[in-house]
Amino acid sequence: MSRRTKIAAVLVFLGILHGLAIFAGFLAPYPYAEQHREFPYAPPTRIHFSGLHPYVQDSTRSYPIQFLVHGRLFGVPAPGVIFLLGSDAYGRDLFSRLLYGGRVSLLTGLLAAFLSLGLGLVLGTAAGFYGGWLDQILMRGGELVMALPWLYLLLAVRAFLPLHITTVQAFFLIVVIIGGAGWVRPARLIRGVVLSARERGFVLAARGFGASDAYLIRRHILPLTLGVVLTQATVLIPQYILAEVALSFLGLGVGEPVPSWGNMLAEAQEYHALVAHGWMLAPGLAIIPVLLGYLVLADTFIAPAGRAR
Amino acid sequence: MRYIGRRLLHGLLLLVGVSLLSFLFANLAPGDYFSELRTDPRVSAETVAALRAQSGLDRPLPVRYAAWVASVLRGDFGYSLAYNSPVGPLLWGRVRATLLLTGTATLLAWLIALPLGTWNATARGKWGDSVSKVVLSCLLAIPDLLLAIVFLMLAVESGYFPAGGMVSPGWASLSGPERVGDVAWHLALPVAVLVLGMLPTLVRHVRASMAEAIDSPFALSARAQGIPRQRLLFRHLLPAAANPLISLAGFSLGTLLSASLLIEVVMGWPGLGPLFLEAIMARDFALVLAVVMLSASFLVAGNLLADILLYRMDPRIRMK
Amino acid sequence: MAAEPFLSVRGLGKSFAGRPAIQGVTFSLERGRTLGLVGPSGSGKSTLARCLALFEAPTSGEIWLDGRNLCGLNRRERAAMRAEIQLIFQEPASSLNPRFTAAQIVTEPLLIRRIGTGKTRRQRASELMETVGLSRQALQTPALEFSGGERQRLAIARALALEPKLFILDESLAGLDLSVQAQVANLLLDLQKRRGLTYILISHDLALVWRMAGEIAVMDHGSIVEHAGVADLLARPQHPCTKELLNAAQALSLDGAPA
Repeated sequence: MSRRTKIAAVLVFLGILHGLAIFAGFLAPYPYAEQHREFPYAPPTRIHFSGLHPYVQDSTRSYPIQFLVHGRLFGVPAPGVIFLLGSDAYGRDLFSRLLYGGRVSLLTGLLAAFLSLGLGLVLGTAAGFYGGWLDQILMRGGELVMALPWLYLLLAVRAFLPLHITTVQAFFLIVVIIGGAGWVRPARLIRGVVLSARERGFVLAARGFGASDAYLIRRHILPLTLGVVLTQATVLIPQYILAEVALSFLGLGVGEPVPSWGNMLAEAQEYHALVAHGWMLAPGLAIIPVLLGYLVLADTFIAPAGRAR
Repeated sequence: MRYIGRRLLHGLLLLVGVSLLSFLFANLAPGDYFSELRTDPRVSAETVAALRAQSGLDRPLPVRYAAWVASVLRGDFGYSLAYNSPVGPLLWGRVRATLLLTGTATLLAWLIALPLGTWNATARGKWGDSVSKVVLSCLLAIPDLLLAIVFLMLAVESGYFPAGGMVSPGWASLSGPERVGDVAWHLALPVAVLVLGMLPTLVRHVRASMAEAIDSPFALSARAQGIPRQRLLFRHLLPAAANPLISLAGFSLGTLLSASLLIEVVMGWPGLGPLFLEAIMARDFALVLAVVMLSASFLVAGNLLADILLYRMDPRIRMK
Repeated sequence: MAAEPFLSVRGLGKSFAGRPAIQGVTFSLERGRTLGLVGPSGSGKSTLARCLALFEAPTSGEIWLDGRNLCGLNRRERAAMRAEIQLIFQEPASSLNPRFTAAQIVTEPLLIRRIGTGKTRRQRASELMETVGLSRQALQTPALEFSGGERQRLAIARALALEPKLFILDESLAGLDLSVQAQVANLLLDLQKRRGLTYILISHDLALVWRMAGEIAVMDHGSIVEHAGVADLLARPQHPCTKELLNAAQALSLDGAPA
């Protein structure tokens, strides 16, 4: 499989996974906070078929699965329930919460990576292009940030901000914290690219024609940083998704009742019963294909550089 | 020698910078240990203010920083309000537990990664290498958190392994070797999770470094001269691949204190992780600061060690 | 009455960190002529080129072009003067952005100085391509798909965009195959005849200098040690440095061009 085809295939795969999360509102049969107290820890609902029509049944009757109902893709009429991946302690549909939770975790990863890369691009370009004291300050500052162990830094920063805040605030807060702490490596790499690009013949030639710094950066130098930015993105996004999961797992991220794969995993810690309720591990398992996708993407990006020698 | 001295100074300055940054940041944060009290209607504002004054939280920043530095030099590392004791004694037991965990895991991971990565590098493209790559990639895609939870679940179900803690109750009454065995039994699962988490990247780096050494011109000519494989491996290839591996080892050492936070919390290992989390929840910022500084020191020391080792081993750096 | 020479350099010096790269350089050049600048490595040829092209500010001396003093200009004036003097680099590969198309490269100077509209620039691009002997069809081709000789032509076309008067060719033909070199050299000579361009040609290749230049200046350790017409210099070299260069060239030359 050629490199391009591979990249396209992985992008489609990741796109589908992210799409599933984005369209949670449509794809999930239940809102994330809806409880069905009569069905705690229900196992995944079995789906039966009569001809082409799917239905579910409880002890008394069967309920047909309806499509495009209540603005959602599918559902069953009350009092029937359809728990594709079972339910949790409060009888909340795990499949729905998985989708909604994915929205939080994946979006955090993407936004935080965007922030880190944006910061890294601006600071790295400034440091590499102008050099001098600006470069010194940024590199020394970067060293300071890198000297702090990452997860400890995240937790400490999170903790030193108000503990009880609304979910929306929490979401933006962790995006800013995670993304804001991770600008250093992208900035360093971009700085390297800019430093060498600055000396290239065509940059000097353009300067000779009277080009402004802004023109040189925009037309000649920034396009050269694209490779680094993309590779860093494939490395940072999964890292940041895991960071959000860790924060929420520890109770310092998004909180009840909004699901995130992290706080859902925290609920899975009823070990004595976990074997019987294996579906509670679904949020953890859902991370795996996402990480795999980004991993393969990162490898495919890096590979040619290795062979180019 | 001058180089080493310079690097040491640099490291020290870095740590001072880190301490300043952390101290500043912690104090800019809204609220402190007594903030929760303020929301309690039974406690009057004067009481809170008095408590603050008593613990010195109302003094100006530079004074508090100086006091903290003095405390560090004494070995106290500040004063924990939550535990009502100097931070130092609270830390050491936990640090030992964490180091035991991560030290064992790191050692084990390297012991597995070196031969595995080397084997893969020598047999590139063959089935062993491909299988390795696939398995390790899948492993990399499994979050540590999930592994920890699953392992713990299996432990609870089967009863083969303990479900947390470092020692069993009644450990003190066991004989010497029995004690060691008990700790080892408790170590098994957390170490397994950590090792599985570290292996993929380690093996990848070892494989890359060894592959580069194998492909290099001098190795090819050595092989052409008919030098036997063993000798080739140990006396020629390994030293050549050492540079990137030493940096990696330095990094491994540097993360000894910080790599296991999540695992300790999930699997109930009494290390720095759970202590840190508690301190955070209680906003006991002296404790938080101390843990952050300690792990930062390890990071800086790890990199420093790697730099110094590289300097001693690689004559090219000395020439610069 | 003797007219002011087109280019007049007086006592030019440039030091880097206190160490002089060139010092006391003085010469003049008439319009439409070619000055060959030769000398061993490190003699300061490239530094002189960069000073003349206004890439470096000299530490001492003056440069007069067409009656105007190039030193002591403010930024805007210097930018304007840059249009008159164009430096053609040695490496055709690095002086062009490989991802830019020929059209983009050739019109970049116009774009930077905001001359003309998109339409007039496109027309100019076609004209310039023709001038240097490249096909219009290649306008949309990215630079990396051109050969070395073609890229040098592109560089020349780009240099012509602002209608300069002085070209500084710093080893511009060095990286090219001999046959390609001949083609580009012919192009340059042709342009000179048609447009009255003035060239300063820096080269190691005495055969090339013999072919293209009317006069030669020999540099050694940062100053000009001999400056004479080509025929004179080759027949009666004065300075020991010149003699060394000629001996070395003859020892290696295959076609025995300099007699």
